[in-house]
Amino acid sequence: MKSSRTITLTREALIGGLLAFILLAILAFTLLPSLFLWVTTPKPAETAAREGAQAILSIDTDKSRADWERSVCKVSNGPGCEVFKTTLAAMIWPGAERNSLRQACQPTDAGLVKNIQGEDVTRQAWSVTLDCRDLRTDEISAGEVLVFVAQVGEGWKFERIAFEEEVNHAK
Amino acid sequence: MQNNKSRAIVLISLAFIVAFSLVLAPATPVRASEGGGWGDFIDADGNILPGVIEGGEVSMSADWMPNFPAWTGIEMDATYNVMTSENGSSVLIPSMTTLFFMALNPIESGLTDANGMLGSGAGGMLLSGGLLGAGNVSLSNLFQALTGMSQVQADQFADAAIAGNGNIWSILNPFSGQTDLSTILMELANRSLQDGNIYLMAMLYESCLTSPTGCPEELCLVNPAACGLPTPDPEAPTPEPTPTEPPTCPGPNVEQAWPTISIRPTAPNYPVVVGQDPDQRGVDIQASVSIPPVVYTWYEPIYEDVQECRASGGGTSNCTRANGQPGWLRTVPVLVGCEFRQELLPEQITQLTARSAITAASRDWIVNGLGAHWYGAQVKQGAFNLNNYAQVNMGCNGGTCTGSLTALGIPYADPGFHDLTITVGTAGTFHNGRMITTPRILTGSGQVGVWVILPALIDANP
Repeated sequence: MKSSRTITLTREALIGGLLAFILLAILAFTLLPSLFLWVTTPKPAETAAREGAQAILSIDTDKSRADWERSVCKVSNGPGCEVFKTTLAAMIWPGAERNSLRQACQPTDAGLVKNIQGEDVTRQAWSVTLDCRDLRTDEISAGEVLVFVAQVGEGWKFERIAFEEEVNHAK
Repeated sequence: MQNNKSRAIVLISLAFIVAFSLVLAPATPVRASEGGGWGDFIDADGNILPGVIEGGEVSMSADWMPNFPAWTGIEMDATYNVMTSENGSSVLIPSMTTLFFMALNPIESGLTDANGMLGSGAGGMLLSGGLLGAGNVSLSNLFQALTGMSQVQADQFADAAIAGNGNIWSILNPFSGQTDLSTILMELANRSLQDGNIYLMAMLYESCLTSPTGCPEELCLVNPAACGLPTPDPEAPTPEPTPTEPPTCPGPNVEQAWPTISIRPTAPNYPVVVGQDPDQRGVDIQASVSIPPVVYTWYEPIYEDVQECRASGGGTSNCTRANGQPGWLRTVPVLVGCEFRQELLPEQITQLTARSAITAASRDWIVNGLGAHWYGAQVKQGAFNLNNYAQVNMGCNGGTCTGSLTALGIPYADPGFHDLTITVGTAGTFHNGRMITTPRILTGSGQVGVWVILPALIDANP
């Protein structure tokens, strides 16, 4: 035995449905790209962490120490730049020259490790993964570094890379 | 400029150190400062004594310095300012940051003994001064002086540092937001900037021979004994030092790569003698040569004028030579460096010729083989210049010089194999009008086969 069902679409319902569909389509077209962009674009703090790690690890002793210092200070906050220029650079560069270090590093991944609320400054610790290419042999070494970034106004700037001893005892 | 700045920094630092160490030391002697080694370097006013050699800032790798992850290839050196006195004693003055890291690893760095007392450091005697003063100094005092932290916190730091096993790093928790290294490093950087990098401690070595930085060359010249070298007999006449070849830059280098050269037929696949070809097409032949640039490398010497005390001169002697004899100051150019230079020089082509010549075997076959069946068969062309049928192009681009010869429709009249040869003449290479490489004759060879159609009688009724 066969049963039949008749669905009747009134004109009003048809127009209402069509309007709802158009509204949904407009929303999708306007909101989805910006939502996708929001999800995929690195956040300011992440960008600062990536840029800082890249700048400090990309050492080319065929160029000058001043070039290297400039590239690090360009992405650092004021105190981070001062610490780097007055102390760390003088301690790192001679060893790099001794080992004829020439490498170009590229961050491949980054993840937030911790928000750190200090007395005067808000920091974030980021784990940044990088590929470093030896410019003499083209060999690539990869690994992670713990990077500190500090909030500067509305944005974030690179501060420093943690020493291995800090990372080992901070776990 | 940099030297002046370093000198000023050292002077300011030493003024502080002297003020505390020399003036206060007799009243409150410091165990680490016993022996008063500063007297070899500075007077009571903090002025560096004549004859003291300032070595400037030096860096040395040290096991106790913190590390970046090994895969980064980055090492952290300890940095010191070095001075050597006339008698060979030497001081290593660690920068504030280096001293802080020494304090974090006090036993490994030789800053303290196992009880935390500042003692003999890294083989040298420790001298304290600056903000530390010259009283009884403990590691806790040093932490306070370096970072401005409270007594309680400094005691905690000192206990953890002496306990070792990385306990100090547990206190320096980077996630705490309070006693983290970022804040301390900034404090050290600020103090270095504001106070002219005041040095709080120094390591005194009684002889530069035992100092990690060794003896400076200037000292060995004026005081060989201080460097462990034999002392010349003052009675013996001092010979003039044997003139040695002045330092020079490495000589120039010329690299000449092999050229590529070829000649070959390009069409048709099976050419026949022109007399048998109804289209009279002939043979196409292509020849080419490519000469890579000559790589000329040389070093440009860089000289700076310096004043030297020489054995000859006019007027009254105005200086003393290394051997103690009077001398005359003269401005002489001294080689201070060699600048690497490299240029790619084109080796221009002056002539390009190509020739075709029937092989001896084919000539023999025409005369004896073919001639036996076809009366009167003979070699018609033999050898000829392909340039008569060809267009030649030559030129250089980016240091590479190329040449080509394209001969189209060459009417070969003789069947058989023909040897093809290409001969290229070059002008050599020149740099600023000077010949770097001599002209060359380059040759290449190929072969083209020309076919002949011979009728044959076939028995139609086998």
